[in-house]
Amino acid sequence: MVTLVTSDNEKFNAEKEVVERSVLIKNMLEDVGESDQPIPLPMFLEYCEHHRGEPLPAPDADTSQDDTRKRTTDISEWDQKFITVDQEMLFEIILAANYLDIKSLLDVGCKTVANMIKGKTPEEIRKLFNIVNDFTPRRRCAQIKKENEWAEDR
Amino acid sequence: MSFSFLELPDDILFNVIKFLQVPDILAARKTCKRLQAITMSRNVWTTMYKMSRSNNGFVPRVLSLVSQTIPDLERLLWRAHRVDTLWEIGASYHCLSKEIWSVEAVLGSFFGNVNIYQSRYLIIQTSPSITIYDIETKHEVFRQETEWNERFDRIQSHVMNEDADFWIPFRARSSSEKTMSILKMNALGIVTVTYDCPVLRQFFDGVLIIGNEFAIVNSAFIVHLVSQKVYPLSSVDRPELVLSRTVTFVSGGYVLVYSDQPNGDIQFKLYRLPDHTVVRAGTPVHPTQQGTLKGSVRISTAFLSSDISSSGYSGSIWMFFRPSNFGLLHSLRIVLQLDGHLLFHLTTSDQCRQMRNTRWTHLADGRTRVITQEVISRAGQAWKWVLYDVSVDSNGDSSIRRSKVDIPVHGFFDVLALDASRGILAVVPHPSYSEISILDLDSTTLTDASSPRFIRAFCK
Repeated sequence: MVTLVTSDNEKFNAEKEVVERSVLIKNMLEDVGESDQPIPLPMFLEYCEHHRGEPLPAPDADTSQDDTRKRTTDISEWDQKFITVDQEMLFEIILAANYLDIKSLLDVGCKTVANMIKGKTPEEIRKLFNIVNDFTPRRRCAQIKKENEWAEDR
Repeated sequence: MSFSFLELPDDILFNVIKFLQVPDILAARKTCKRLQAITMSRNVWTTMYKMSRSNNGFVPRVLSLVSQTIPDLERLLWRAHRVDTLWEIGASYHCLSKEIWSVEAVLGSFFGNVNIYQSRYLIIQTSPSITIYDIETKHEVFRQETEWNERFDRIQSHVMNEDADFWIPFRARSSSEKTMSILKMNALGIVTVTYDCPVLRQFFDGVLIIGNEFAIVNSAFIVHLVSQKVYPLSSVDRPELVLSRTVTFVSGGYVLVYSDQPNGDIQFKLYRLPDHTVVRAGTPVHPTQQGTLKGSVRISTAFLSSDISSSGYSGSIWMFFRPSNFGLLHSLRIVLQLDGHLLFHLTTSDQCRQMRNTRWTHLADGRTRVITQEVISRAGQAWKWVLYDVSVDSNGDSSIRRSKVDIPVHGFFDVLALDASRGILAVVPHPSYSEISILDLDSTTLTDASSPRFIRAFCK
């Protein structure tokens, strides 16, 4: 059993096998370190609980292996349900997964964001994420058009 | 605390981008400077390239990835995306409900043919019997004890004719030697059987194709079944001179004979079915048009649709064409010429993946539905079932809709039948052959993923 404490002093107990899906926590447990990073811990535990027993990616998986990973944006039903949260929460989960080094959760989060972007126009993407268009009009007309012109007329 | 999208660090945004398709990346590029910078990084495009390559995408191999400029890579991946999405899977079929019922077909030593007709009738030909079941009422409609003969292997039934009747030639049990019976089922499900077709006795050992009230024997004689008139086809190559010869009824009252020549050419000859009320028996039928398609060793060809004027001197025939075993799907357009020649247009733009176990059927609106197993991994180890809807426009260009089918049958199996109108499949698993799974894709529209009916029938 491992006790995890969030920044607002909530305590959670979890089995070692479960939390070790996080490479960070695994390393911390080994070094008996401590983290003060605020993370949505209950959700994180729920995720690891569900995926316990699944093989972890090799600890030193290099990028070439990463590249050959199946480029699919299919998300399993359970993960889909799990990740159905508002945008802020989604980004928090992604950041936490990145920080805690849980590759599978990071991918689920990034795929979800990618699915939100898919098929949208630039304006729709801006609206979706509250992105401010910071191109100067001139630049937009001239350079961007030039950069993409080969793709426009196809 | 809260985050917005642009507060995510670069490496996470990069992680998101690599799950996007090329057009989405280009759209993201136009939103703001930060995303522009990230989507223009070399890393994004080399990763996209490697992932596409490993994912069986249509990305040509570049000799040196390092020497490619970013715009070059973008262009390459954009084109690959275009080809990929041409074959994009539009809908996916999963089976949810399951129904099990029992079919009392007599299983003999040989499980002949399974056919589904009118999306409703399951026709099972085994070595000792022909059994027709109505899938909707779950009742047997017709049963006939038959004698099996090896040559029945070579008999082809054709559903494809104007009145869309289904024909089965067979030999009734206890009938005398060399009689040929013919079963005809019409679109209303009414079965009529002609127990002895005397004129066919003389052709008893020939390869037989039946449809349109005509039988074509050995690709050499046309027999009108009602009037019993026989018409020889003229200028048909002698069997020993060709590798194989195929006959297809072409709508509009035509017969297309095509033969594989030893040099790899295919010779096509188009004959008009004779009007039995006018043309005397024994009158040779001459080809109205003929032509040779050069150097196209084919594996399978199927008639798609045709549009031949009543005069017979103009029009087109479209065929579905697969030149080699692991080859490409093509649409072949044959244009009738006034001078009696045939012109061929073989599309090569239809890039296609490796496929096997291909079956096809024709839809009423002229589309062809194809079920095939497609390779999904570069190594050729994993296969998936895919349903294609192919339609050909007046220019001979084909458009293709592709859907994935999950067949909930374990182990090895054959898809033995694919029905026209609704896309019903009959699947027979190995090795018992005592079970038929019927998938009802029930898709009048192919736009949404639907939940097909799944019927499993056990043969006793």
